Amino acid sequence: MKNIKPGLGIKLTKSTNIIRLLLIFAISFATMAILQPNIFLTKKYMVSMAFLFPEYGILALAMMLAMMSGGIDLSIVATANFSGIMAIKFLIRFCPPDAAGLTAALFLIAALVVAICVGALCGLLIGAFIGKLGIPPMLATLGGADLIMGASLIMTKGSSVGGIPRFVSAVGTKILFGFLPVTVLVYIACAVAIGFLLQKTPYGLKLRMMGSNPVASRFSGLDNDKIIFKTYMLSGMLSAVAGMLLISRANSARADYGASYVMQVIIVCVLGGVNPNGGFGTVGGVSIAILILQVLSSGFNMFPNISNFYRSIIWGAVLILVVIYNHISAKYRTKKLERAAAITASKSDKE
Amino acid sequence: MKKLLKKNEFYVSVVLILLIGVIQVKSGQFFTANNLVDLARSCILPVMLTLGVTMEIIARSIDVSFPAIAMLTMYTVTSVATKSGYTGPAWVLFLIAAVMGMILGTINGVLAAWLKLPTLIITLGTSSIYMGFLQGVLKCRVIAVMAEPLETLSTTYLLVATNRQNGLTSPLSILFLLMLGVVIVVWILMRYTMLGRGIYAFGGDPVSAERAGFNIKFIQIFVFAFMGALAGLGGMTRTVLTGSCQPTSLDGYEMVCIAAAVLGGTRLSGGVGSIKGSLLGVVLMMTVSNSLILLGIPTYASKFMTGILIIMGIGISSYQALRSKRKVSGNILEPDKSKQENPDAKELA
Repeated sequence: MKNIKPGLGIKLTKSTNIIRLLLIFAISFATMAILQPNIFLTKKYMVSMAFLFPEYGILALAMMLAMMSGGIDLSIVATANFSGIMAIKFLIRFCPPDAAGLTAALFLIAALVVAICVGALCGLLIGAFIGKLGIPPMLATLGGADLIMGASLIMTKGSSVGGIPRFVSAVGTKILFGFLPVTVLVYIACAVAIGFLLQKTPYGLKLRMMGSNPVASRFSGLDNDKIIFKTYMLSGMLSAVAGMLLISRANSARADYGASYVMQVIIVCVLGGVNPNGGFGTVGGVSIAILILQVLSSGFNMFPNISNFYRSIIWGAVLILVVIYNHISAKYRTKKLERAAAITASKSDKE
Repeated sequence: MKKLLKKNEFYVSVVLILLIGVIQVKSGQFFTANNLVDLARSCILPVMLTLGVTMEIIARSIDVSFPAIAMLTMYTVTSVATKSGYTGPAWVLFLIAAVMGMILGTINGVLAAWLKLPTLIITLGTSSIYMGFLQGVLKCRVIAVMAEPLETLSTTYLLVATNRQNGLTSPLSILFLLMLGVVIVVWILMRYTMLGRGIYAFGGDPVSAERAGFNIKFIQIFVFAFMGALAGLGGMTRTVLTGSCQPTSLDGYEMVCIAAAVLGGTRLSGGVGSIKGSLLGVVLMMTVSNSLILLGIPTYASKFMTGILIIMGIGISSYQALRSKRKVSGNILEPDKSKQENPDAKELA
């Protein structure tokens, strides 16, 4: 029995998935570079792309966690906005507007902590809806999104909040050494943390087990409710970080920023090989998928005569095509496995 | 009595009656003729769409693309009719919209039946495509003056109610009859036809339904196509009710309809749901959103209120389902010892 390696098949498909994604990335990058070399291949354009992707990249990580648990989190954008608003309210209330140096740094960290706590609370609330009340994740997060967005509307009375201390946007839009935006560092930190959680901790294993078969994981003694709570709390915390990036870029907060991100984030996850039925997904895959989407989206920006609305057609089409491709390849793989199983079965019969 | 307590319709009715009581006491304006007619008028569109959503959820599917289908069909039909100076009967336009919607819905259905993926993701994708087509390719804009038959229809009223105290009048559109027609068709379909039984069977357990001889692919495609047709009708209804074609006015409507259906006891795990419950759910949702002003709640708080209502309503029914499920699986976790020590079972295994 020792020669059977159960992990091998999964590892192989994982690496082919990443290779495939890298290939798509290379092709889309090359296409854009050939079509508009004068705009696309400039340093300014590259930096602006790198500056933009972390915002929904972090949201995509949040969505990935929820999807891996077999659910979906449609409340990420609402949570991001709400925690951003709370952080700003905190700053306006306590921080002197002309703070600089150490006090500014301390207040920035405090605001980040406030945002993350608020995000974690939102996530816990949604986790309670799903785990304790048994509401299906899709509805719990949709209803929860209404609730959270409603709360931010009440906080802001429906208008946008300005008057943020200047250092927030100064740090958020800073570009280190002329090519490395701070936002990218934030994304890398989040991605590494989540990657570590998923690959090296018991929680990651439990999450994948529960995602692929909740009944089996419950009957093997795992506490599904606890995993759900943790997952949605993490997702809320990540959303809060994205919310901080959002307010630092926009230099104001509103209840309805980034409404179109939900769709893009789902596309990123599905493209990146996260199984919407739960159980599978890697930080690497999602990260490359984010880069692909950013290249395409910035690429379309170079053509002024392509209306923004065409983009939603393309996103939708990409989503459907990826789903179809995954379906066909999965079918092909199971057929191959079945054939292999049949061959070994007939061999052992002969013996 | 016990059976009554278990029924979701019962709870929804209780909440509805309590809510109406509160509104009546606080404002004294609920049981006025024009408020009731306003309520009936605001129910026309959500009832039509929610019935379709109910059918889909019973068949284990979630559709978020029907507002996009409704907007796309209503804009296309209205703009073509207006530009060509169409003067024929208005029902032809409704029929065309329904057929167009059905085609778009069938695309959803085929993808869903073929790919066997969460229908939420598929319909998110198609919804994005339809909306992009509407806004990008067709470059939609508000049509204020529509073709003549639609304008006449929008001023044809079944009855006009007047509030005796302040003289406000509220007309009830003739399309209320269309809504009643849809309700009757769906009710007969779900209750007395083999197809309706098939939808319930498919929702309860797809594998069993297939073994029992139902064509499950057809059922899934049918459900989406039917929703598409209803969305087409709904879109036209919307233009007639508002008296102008505002192409993006239905954005976000899916949540209202899904919430209404689930409030009415339709279970997202499939197989459970009733027309009666969904109708009650719609009335509850519309009572809340119509009465926020009567209750003096500021408009920016309305989203929060509907969020609470949705979570509460869905929470009660989900919690009941969860408890009954836990009861069953609890038994499995601690099996009877007599069964475990049954030697025959071991040999068979």
